[in-house]
Amino acid sequence: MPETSKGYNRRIIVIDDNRAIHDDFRKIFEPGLASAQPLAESGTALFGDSTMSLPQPLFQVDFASQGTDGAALVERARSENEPYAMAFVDMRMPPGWDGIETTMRIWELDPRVQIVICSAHSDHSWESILRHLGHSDRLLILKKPFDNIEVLQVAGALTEKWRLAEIAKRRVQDLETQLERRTSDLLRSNVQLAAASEELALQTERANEIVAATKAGGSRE
Amino acid sequence: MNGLRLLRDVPIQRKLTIISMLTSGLALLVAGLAFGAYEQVVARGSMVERLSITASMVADNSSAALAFNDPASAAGTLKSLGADPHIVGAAIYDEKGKAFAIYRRAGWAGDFEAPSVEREGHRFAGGHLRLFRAINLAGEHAGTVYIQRDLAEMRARMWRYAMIMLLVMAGASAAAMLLATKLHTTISGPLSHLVHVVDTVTTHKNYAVRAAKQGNDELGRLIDGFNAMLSQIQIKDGALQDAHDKLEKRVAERTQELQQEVTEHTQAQGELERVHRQLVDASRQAGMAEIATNVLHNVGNVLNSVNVSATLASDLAQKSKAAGLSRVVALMREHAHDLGEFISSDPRGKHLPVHLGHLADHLKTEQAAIVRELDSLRSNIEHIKDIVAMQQSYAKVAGVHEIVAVVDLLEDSLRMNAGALARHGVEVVRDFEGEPLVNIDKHKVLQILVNLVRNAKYACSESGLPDRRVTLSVRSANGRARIMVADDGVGIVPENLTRIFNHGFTTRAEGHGFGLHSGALAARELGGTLSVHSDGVGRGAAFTLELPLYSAETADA
Repeated sequence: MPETSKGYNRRIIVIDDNRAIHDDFRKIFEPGLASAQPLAESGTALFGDSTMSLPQPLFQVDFASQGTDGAALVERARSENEPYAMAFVDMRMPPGWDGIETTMRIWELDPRVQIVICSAHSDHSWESILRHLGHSDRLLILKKPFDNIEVLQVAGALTEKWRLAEIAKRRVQDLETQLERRTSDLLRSNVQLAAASEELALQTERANEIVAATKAGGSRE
Repeated sequence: MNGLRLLRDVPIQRKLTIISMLTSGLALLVAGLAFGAYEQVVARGSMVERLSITASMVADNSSAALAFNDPASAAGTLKSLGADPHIVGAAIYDEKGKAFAIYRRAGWAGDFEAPSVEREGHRFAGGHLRLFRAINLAGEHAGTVYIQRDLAEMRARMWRYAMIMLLVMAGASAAAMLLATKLHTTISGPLSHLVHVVDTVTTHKNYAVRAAKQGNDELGRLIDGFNAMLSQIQIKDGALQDAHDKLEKRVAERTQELQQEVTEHTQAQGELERVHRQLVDASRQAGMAEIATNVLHNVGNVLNSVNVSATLASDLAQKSKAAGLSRVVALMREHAHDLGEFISSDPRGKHLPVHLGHLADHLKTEQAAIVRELDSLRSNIEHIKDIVAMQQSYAKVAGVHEIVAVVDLLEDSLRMNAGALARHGVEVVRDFEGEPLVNIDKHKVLQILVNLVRNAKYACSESGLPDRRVTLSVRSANGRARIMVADDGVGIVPENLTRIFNHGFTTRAEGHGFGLHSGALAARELGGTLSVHSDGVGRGAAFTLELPLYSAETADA
């Protein structure tokens, strides 16, 4: 997993009971036509300039027709340490779980997954969705019919968000580790300092005693 | 016996009169008869005695005549018998019994013949007393005297007696009658009074009257008893009347209560009917809402595909490498004079054929991709048109009857569920026989059929079996079209078969239990029936909708 090693995770799961929607997502995430690559290369060779378009990030997309199937895939991916960064979940998927139920189940299995609920019309109001799922920065609503660019942007942004969240988490962990180490160092030096200061106090006292004794001896003599 | 029976129905007063008269008459009669009998016996005795004396005298007086054989003297002796007018004849016989002298009463109508001599004695025969007496002379039998006397004297006396008795009886009867009339006041008077009172009681139902008592005899006690009985009856009657009045009052009250209850029930029923109508409307609207929701969902999904295809096609067109072709053409124009050399020896020119080849390949794939998306676009738009058309036909004004083929209705309902059926991989088997027509509110039938097909699909998809099949069959018999929607899905537990049409009954989490309920109602409104059959859990289910067939005859009628 070359991307995950760099922190990138572009694994996406689409959960929708409509096969046509699966095809829609497949088309959107599909890289450009295969014939474009050799054409671009020969064009560069011929004209000496680059006409290559920016490479679209490659998403790895899996599909499920029902909430239960989707949740099973999410769990397997997590246990195989190849978690999904995000999921597109349809709101209405009779006869099984609806989008809200599926979202709750996925978050029970893997709370990191970013969820986009797709709905063709207002089955549930925004308020009712919030009532069920609470305010969450892991949740987006995408109205059908959606735009290809929208989907790509959402996918790009949310996978990046997943990555950043992971980085932030790791960073926080690192900082915490550092803090702990630093704290223990400080504690240790503190102990040493305390010991030293105690030693100093002892010596000072002893010196004072000697001084006092000297002074007293001097006055008697 | 007959007389007694006749007497039974005679009023008491007359009965009493008759009885007292009969009694006194009978007593007199018996007394008179006894007296008469005695009188006759005595009269006969004295008559025999007197006649015996007479005979003795005649015997004495004639003994000498016999001894001297002097019949004239004997006849003279006999003649002296003429003093007694009742002696009709007499005779003197000699010792040998031969008639010696005969006396016949002059002027007697009868003919007297001396009978043959008999022994001494008398007898009554033929209304006459006949008496023989022996004549003795010096102790020797000398002859016999015979005297015959009639009984007219005695008969006359008896007659007189009878007349006296009749007179006495008449007098006694008159006295008895008078007495009975007097008695009437003491015996039959109270009785008739009692009868009168009884009549009053029975005809007027008046138990307050009382019979007046006139003495302390049996009648008095009877009247006392009767009055006591009347008092009892009056008390009982009063109580009865009271109870009756109370009962009538209660009945009246209860009747009023019942009437009120009936009114309340009628009102409640009206209210129920109104609520029921509202429910039916609500369920129909809910059904409509569900259809609308499905339509929106389906249209939304298809629109999504349309959008994706359109964007892709547009992107492909915009980013088309067709523009690259003109650049190649410009380069070729630039090297028009040494094109061959440019291609064969120029380091850049050598790439030209390859690039052109790539360009051609790419344009071909690009075109294929655009065509594919445009095809998808067209089919998706087609799909939307179908959904919208279905919605329009479904949303048609209800209550309009039209003649439609049952098969077309089924196809419509299948089309409305087409997406879901395909998505769940449900195979649809059509088993249509003939082309029955129905004249019907299409909207309602579709509501039922769409629901049945959707239920069948759910039953199949919930079963989890790989083979999912829904069989639609159409038959027509006995003026009715039978539409059966059968699935081989989860089936129905027997106890739910009766509840499945209940309002609010559902086995699905998101179901609202309106579908089959309103379906059954709609079927009834259409003059048909909706029924279910299932062999149990996991054995599938079959819903049968029966509708009246359309025929030209019924249309003419």
